[in-house]
Amino acid sequence: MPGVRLVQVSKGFGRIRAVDRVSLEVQDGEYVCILGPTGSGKTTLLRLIAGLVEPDEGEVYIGNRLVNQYPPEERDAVYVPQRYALFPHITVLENVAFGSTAKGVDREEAFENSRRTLELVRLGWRADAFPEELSGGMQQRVALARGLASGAKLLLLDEPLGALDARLRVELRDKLRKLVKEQGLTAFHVTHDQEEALTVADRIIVLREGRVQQQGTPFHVYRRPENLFVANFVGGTNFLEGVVAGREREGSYIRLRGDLQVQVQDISYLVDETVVVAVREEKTLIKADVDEEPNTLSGEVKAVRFLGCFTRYEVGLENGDTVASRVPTYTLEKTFTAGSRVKVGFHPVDAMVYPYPSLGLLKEVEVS
Amino acid sequence: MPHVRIADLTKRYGSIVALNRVSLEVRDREYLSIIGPSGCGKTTLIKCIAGIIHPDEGEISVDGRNVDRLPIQDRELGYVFQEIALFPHMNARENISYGPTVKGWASDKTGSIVTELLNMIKLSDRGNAFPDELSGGAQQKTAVSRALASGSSLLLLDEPLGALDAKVRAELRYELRRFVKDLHLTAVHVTHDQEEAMSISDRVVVMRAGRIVEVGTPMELYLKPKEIFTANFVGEANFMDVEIAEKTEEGCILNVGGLKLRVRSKAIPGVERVVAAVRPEFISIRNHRVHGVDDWLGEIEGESFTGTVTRYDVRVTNGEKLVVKHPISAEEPEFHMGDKVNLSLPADHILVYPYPEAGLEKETSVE
Repeated sequence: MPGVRLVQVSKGFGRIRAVDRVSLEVQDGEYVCILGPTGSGKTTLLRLIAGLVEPDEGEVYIGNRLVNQYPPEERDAVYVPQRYALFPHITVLENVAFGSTAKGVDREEAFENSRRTLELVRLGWRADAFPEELSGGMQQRVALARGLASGAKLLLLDEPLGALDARLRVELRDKLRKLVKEQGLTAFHVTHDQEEALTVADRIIVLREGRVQQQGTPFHVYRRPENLFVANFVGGTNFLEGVVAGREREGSYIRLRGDLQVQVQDISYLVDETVVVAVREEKTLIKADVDEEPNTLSGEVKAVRFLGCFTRYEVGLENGDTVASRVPTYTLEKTFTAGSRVKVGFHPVDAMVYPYPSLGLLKEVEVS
Repeated sequence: MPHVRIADLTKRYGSIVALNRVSLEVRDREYLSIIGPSGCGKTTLIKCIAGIIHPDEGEISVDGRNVDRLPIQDRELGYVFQEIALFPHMNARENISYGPTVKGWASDKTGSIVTELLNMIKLSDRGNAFPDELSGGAQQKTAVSRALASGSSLLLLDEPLGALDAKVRAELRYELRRFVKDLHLTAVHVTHDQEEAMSISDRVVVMRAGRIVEVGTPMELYLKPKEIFTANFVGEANFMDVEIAEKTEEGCILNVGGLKLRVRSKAIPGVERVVAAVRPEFISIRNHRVHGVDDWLGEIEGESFTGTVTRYDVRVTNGEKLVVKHPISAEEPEFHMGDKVNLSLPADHILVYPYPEAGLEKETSVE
């Protein structure tokens, strides 16, 4: 049974530690997304599990078996790389069936199964085409189908939907998860698209510079980011720097730049401590007029971005900070335009508070 | 003042018609995006404007001047594509000054333009950095600057952010728009990311199978798409195959598998069978009835968390399966699998289309 366990696994390339003492334990049948910026070690981590690179240190277990010494083909895993390599001289269907026929599966059975898998990625109608006749996105789907049809119980997918059109990506990600669940597979799915990760994963692992920043259910990672990097990388977030000005039983008061003050529910910081208050853009409310709620700050709309389902307002506050408010488009009774005077605010319970990072806020949340 | 006119452009590859009599006007100083499923012809179209691909038929003019016979280097445009193509042995400053230097501009003039461009892309302190010392986002901004340095006022962007991380992409797209607006450029931007197109464009072109389906502002395409394909491709929509039961003063009443649905949209003369479309976030979901509202009853069959909203698959008593997006207001998701819920569909936001000849599935297919 392909549960996967990594114990203190590291891998360096020259001076760079691509994967740095990563430990994790994934249950059989879990759908895991590995999320992180370019260069965070996502691909190396997959390749370590696949057996395509050897760890410098640490142990890799698949299904309770230490596999450090096993070659890729003996790990019951299939690795689908981001740059899909299809055989140019055989058809799409033959490409998909390749893994199974090479293993000695009955040809007819392999082709039947491959045809079904192609239907799943919506390419049944192109079964007899050659790879070069297909677009990049279609080739990627063929490579994915080849991985799915291989019969391996552990799927290691590197950006499997990366080359696809956004609309198709949404459709296929749900199908992919469904297939993994129906067939009782275990999947690692590398992506830099946080919405994709939140939607399909049972568990998300956030990586940065080779280290695990946080792992947990999508809900947990989104609602309780453990550090500023995760708070910034997963979801849209406003950051306000401040100093704890007072602490009471029901909450703390944080003094922001320009002598503005906000209230937060968190009471785990001491008076005079420098902190960062993080508030999700969709929890940052925008209104035309003053009201009695706490945490109402005045500002001016700098830009309006229509995103479809949401409209995003960038608001310059009186102290020079900028915050964004993401409002469901359909709830907008009144729309604001650039230059509108507005009030923005948030509920104390929606504020996440972090210690001010020693390297500075920008450095801490930097993605690239 | 680049105003681009494209008339009846056709391009074939063997039996495949990549562009099928495409006509389009790009207005001066407009930020125009082109979206559509892969293979729809969007890349072919922008490459025709650039002069990299020659159309079989039709013509392209810039400011009233026919450019069909002009090679790419004489078209006075900047072209940026997905694969970041900076010269690896030149630093950022040298890369940006490449065009002006080749054209033989005076070095002080070139120098001041390059300095201004580096300022604009907020890389003034990285002028001496080589491409591999810059992040992907910084490299692509440098590529945009290089495309602009020769003074082109028409900027063609072919998936300019495609190679970047989602998070970086979302930040850089606003910068792109800012460059275009600050420098009074005209931009044509091809992307496979609908949200990217919506968030920065003045107008968006939706293409499919070599043709233009629809052109409109982001708001128009999202709230009042003229075509079913657009309703599906730009954002998400629930589609229902229904009959018009009754025509009223304000609109009409539809019969959706036995349930009534009021819509504000006027009935289409002579049409009985229609498709009703509604965006998932326009449907309200509750665990109780509200007086005076036509509620539909349903059961939650699926839920997935996406961060800002939760998506629910709801099976309605008439058999329809609807996707509902609900903003998360409470600490925990409010509804769960198996819950019985009340849905209401807003009459103002239901789109009505004649039932397509090719069938609904074919019409909304993104292949």
